[in-house]
Amino acid sequence: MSNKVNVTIDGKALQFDAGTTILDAAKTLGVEIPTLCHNDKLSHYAGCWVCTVEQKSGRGGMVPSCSTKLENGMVVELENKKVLESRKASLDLLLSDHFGDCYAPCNQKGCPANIDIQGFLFLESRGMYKEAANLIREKVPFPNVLGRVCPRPCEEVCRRQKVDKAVLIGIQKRHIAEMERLEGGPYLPKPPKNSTGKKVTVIGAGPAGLSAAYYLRLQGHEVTMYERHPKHGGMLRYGIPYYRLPEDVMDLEGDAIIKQLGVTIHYKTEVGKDVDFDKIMQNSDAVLLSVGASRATPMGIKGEDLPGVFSGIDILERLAKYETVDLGKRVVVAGGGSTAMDAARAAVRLGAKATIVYRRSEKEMPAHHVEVHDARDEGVDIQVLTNPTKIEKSGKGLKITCVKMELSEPDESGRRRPVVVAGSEFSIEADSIIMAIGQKTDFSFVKNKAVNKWGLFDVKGNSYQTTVDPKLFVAGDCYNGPDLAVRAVADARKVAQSINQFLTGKEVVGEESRFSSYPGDLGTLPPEMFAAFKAGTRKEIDLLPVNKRVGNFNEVEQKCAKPDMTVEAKRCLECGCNVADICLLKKHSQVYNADQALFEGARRTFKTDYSHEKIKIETHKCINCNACVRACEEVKKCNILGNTGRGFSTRIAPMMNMPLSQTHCDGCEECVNVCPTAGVRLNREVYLMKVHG
Amino acid sequence: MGKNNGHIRFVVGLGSCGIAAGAKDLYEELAAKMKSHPAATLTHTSCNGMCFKEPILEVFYPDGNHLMLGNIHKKDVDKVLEPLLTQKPVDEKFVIENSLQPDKVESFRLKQHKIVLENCGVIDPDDIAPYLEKGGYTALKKVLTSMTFEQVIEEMKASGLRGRGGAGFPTGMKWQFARNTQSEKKYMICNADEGDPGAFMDRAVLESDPHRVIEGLIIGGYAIGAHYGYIYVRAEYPLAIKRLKIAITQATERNLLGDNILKSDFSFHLKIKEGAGAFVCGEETALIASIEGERGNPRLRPPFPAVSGLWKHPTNINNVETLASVPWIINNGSAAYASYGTAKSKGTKVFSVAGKIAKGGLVEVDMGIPLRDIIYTIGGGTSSGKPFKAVQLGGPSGGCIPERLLDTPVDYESIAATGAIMGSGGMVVMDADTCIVDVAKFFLTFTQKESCGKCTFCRVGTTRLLEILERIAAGKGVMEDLDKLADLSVKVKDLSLCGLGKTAPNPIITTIKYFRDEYEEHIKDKKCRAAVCKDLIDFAVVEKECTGCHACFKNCPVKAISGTAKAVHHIDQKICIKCGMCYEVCKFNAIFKG
Ligand SMILES: Cc1cc2nc3c(=O)[nH]c(=O)nc-3n(C[C@H](O)[C@H](O)[C@H](O)COP(=O)(O)O)c2cc1C
Ligand code: SF4
Ligand code: SF4
Ligand code: SF4
Ligand code: SF4
Ligand code: SF4
Ligand code: FES
Ligand code: FES
Repeated sequence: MSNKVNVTIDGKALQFDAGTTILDAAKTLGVEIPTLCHNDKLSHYAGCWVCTVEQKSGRGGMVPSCSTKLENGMVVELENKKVLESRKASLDLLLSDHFGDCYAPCNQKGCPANIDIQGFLFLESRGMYKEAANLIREKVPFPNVLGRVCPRPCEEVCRRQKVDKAVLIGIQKRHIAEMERLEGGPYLPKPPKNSTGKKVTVIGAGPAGLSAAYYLRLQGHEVTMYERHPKHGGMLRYGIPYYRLPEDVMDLEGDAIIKQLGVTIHYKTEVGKDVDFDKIMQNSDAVLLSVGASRATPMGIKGEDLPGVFSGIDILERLAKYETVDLGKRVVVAGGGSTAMDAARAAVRLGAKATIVYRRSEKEMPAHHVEVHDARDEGVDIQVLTNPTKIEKSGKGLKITCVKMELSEPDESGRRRPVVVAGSEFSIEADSIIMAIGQKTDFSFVKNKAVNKWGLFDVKGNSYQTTVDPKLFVAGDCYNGPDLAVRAVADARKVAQSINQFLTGKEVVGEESRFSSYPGDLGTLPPEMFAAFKAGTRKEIDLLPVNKRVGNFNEVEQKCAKPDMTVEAKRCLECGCNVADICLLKKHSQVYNADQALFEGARRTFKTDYSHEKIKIETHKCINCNACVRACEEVKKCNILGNTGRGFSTRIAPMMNMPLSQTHCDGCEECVNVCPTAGVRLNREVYLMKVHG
Repeated sequence: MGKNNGHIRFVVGLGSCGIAAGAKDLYEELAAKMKSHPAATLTHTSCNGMCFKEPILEVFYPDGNHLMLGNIHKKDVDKVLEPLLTQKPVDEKFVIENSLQPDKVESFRLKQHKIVLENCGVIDPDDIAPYLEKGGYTALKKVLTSMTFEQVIEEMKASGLRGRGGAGFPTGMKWQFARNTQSEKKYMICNADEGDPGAFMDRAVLESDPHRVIEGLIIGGYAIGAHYGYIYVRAEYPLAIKRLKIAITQATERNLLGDNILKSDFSFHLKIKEGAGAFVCGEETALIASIEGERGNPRLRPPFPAVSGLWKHPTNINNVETLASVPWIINNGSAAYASYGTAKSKGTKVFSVAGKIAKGGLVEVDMGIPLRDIIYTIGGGTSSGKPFKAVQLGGPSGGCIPERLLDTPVDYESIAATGAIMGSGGMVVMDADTCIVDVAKFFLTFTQKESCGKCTFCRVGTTRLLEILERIAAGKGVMEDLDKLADLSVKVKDLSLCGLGKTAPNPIITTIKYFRDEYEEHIKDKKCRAAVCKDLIDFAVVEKECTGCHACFKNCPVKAISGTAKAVHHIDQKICIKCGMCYEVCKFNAIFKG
């Protein structure tokens, strides 16, 4: 009998040793087949079917490559359409019965920039501020700034709410950065020594531009920036008053990027006026437009050109530049966004009584509810469903005519349009009115590049690459319209990847969307998940008393006390999966674009055995691959783990369903080493020690 | 057992089905009342297949005359005993057959051809003597004294016998493979796990004629070179286990089992292993794992058991019916066996016919007879008299065959062509009152629960299939669900390890194929034409029929019915849980269901 077999794999005639599995043969051909239940150390199992290939010979059909041995004359296709669909279906099904978060909800669902919150809280709780700051910088290059200005969508989805209240997250970024500063920071990572020689021009040094510059420099590209203002920061500096973001913080973190990473920046240089856009295009390998959206949109009502009528964005900029602004004692602000809130709160600080008029209801306000709340706290009168229709001079001041509005029934798109309530006209006397109903981008400087009917650039997919010119990219508010700073930062990180792909000749697709298993929203989670946690209190940050906010622009949020912050950091439940960086289920799901919702139905629920000090069982993340069972039996010769139940409710459990600590398990880790998920894993401390030393 | 020694011989069928129908009480009553009649003896046999007539009493007279009575109970003994003992006519309603009325034949017995079941319901299964009288163990003797193992295997190949456990693999070839593997130790196993709901062929054979199976097993052992054997019986078959144990003891006492059988060189030791009751343990590799004391999970083949089986030794596994056919083939020759059946499916096949059938029971027919003959000639059509709708063949792994395909001959290939499988021979008959979605749901519920939990597609996939079916039955289905069902069904078939997963979607695939309109009705019209799916039906009082008898009122478990005696009643739809109790108890057809 010959000990070689002749086979055909993907159309090629090949010879292998008899007894070689298809999986091993594929490996020698450089084809990577995903596996879950298979492990070279263990006996064959053939349960997960994610390693499927198609056998075209003999009785043929789909076979598990890990356990199918090549036979003479066998014809196999490793990656045809049916194979790929089958693998995806296997993952779809496994995920439909999987209960876990690869990434914590705060990170995956809350934070638009996907900051590893659980990670930085962990480092912070151990006093590793520099490491924590740099973990944040992987997603957001200015922790201190964002720690102050971000309205914290992350806290809204924080699981700790099921125990008591959300973990204090937003402010921790600031605290970490401040602690790092005390240690002489910020300590940014160093860019590569050798430049790629590629020149990228970034127009606009706001949150998007600065962030893009940061990531581009770390990729080794040369970055030149143009900024029309005398300083960097864009809307962060000129649109957010100092009581929310003191200028020294902006200086510190903006300068760090420019100086530590070596970015060339031309201040007070307006593209289209001081330098020619086409020249820039000619001289650069790639150009990023991150000019923000800082042109106020007029309302188009009578009297908008009268003295005493201001634009919100203008006022905020002038205040940032310490220019004197006289608004009088009675100020009306029109609009419901961030700029409207800040303009009103600035007016309060200048000693005025501010009234906000907004034409829809509070629910529709684009400003974050925290900002609305703060404005109200400071005595701003907010009149919703109110719209100015006419401004007239009235003595020394203005007479502003308004109408009351009501919301129509939702239209097809679900939007409720405001309609005028007949006969509801009334007027307000004021010294000035600040118009803050919207901002847009003025792209007139790009001259011959075609913008769409909204005056914006169309981009390809999620790449931020414009359709008009492959070397031209957009990010931030000039792409999204006015939005949270953190979103501009997230855009910028992604556009930097696109630009890098473009400059290195790769397909420009932007940042790959990230797979993360998700067990469901807060309301749907089972109480067992939180049973192990004791309710405590959240350490709220002290605020400057409201009566001390008039006549100054001092920061409202007060200093964080270190011990408090450490306690806060430890309140984190650590929702994100311990094995996310090595989990094979997650890895394959990412590659195969698996869809957890496709086969939605009954699903296993949260169930753990944490009794053993070292080996932790998370049944809710087990995929029944039986690798642990085989490892314990075949490698360790112990037979501690086994199956219980049948059908859909088959589960892996220690013998007789006992807690693992009551078995003779000595924590040899053999099971952990072969588990493709977090079904059995190491105690977190032990794991981190292993990985990070 | 033709000889009566001048006695009148009373024989009661004491199979599980008879006992369930009250045969044991009948037997005891007869025993008590017959004590004073020295001219009469009382014995028992097992199941003769006419489950619909149980309990059954046969009476054999010294003059050769014979009477078969059915549906006869303890309470009837006083009425019939005297006439029977004096050979006077008894109440006609009990008489199934009477040798004095040769034209009174039970149509159930027409078109049947008994090879495997030849002794069933005829001999006393607790005694080896009648089996020997019927020629039992002559095949074993023949094999041991005059045939080489090659000749035995050739004989099996020539007979064309195919495995009756489901897959229909040629038995001779299977034995050849096991024979070809060189090994000190080999095993020969009888698979008596019979887990299909609705199937009871194997149980009946084991209870009625255990020696026949044992004889076949020993012959198989001789052919493949195995000296050890197991009979793997499900623990839910206590009577079969009891009778097998008795049979093994008796066979051992007579040197038909054990060392140097019938003074030959051949030794064979046989043990019974009681199965834990999981359906999947009937799968060969799971069965082996189960005997080894492991969890009964199937594993990938190859290696096949013929190469590496029980404790890694070459092992051959055959079904009860397969083995029960062996002695007949050896005795009568392969040519005789192969003369029955079709080109590719030889011999006879036993079916258990159940469901909405007038005459349910065990049936043995030549391969190739049309399904219609089984359902109508033998089975007498539907029990309700309502139109026949479909027959599920092959249990939960099988498929649903509609009326228009009833002329399909029962042979492996023709049945497979319909999308069903021959399986082990379970037949469930459905009439117009059966909802096709409900049927698919029923079988999926079974397979989904019985999956060993190993394969992704079987463990999770069947659950998702079931969920979609449940959604459709609840009136919450959408048309895309049909595509989803079809697509996932194919994947579950393609991407499961063992026969359970590979066949589990068959009921869905065939019902969609033949009854797509009924699925669409559930989805689009929110209608269940058979009025089975609870969420799609209502119960209401038909006012002009209601006599106010109050029966529904008294029986409704949730008090959804209001009304005083003699007045028209009313069902509160908000409270009604659609249990159908009112419909059952109303004697005046005054409850509308639909
Ligand atoms: C899930 C499943 C259950 C089975 N159950 C039985 C059974 O109860 N009895 C049986 O004889 N064969 C059963 N089989 C078939 C056996 O695996 C095997 O094919 C059969 O016992 C071989 O015997 P044969 O060649 O005589 O048919 C089952 C197969 C599967 C996949
Ligand atoms: S086990 Fe894997 S897939 Fe599951 S939550 Fe953890 S990382 Fe994600
Ligand atoms: S408990 Fe921690 S990991 Fe979980 S959501 Fe809150 S901050 Fe994130
Ligand atoms: S750690 Fe314990 S359960 Fe895991 S393989 Fe070792 S002994 Fe078995
Ligand atoms: S716990 Fe065991 S069975 Fe579950 S995924 Fe991990 S190795 Fe597989
Ligand atoms: S197909 Fe089903 S029963 Fe068969 S091995 Fe796979 S999971 Fe187990
Ligand atoms: S079946 Fe091959 S890796 Fe799971
Ligand atoms: S939510 Fe992540 S920075 Fe605010």
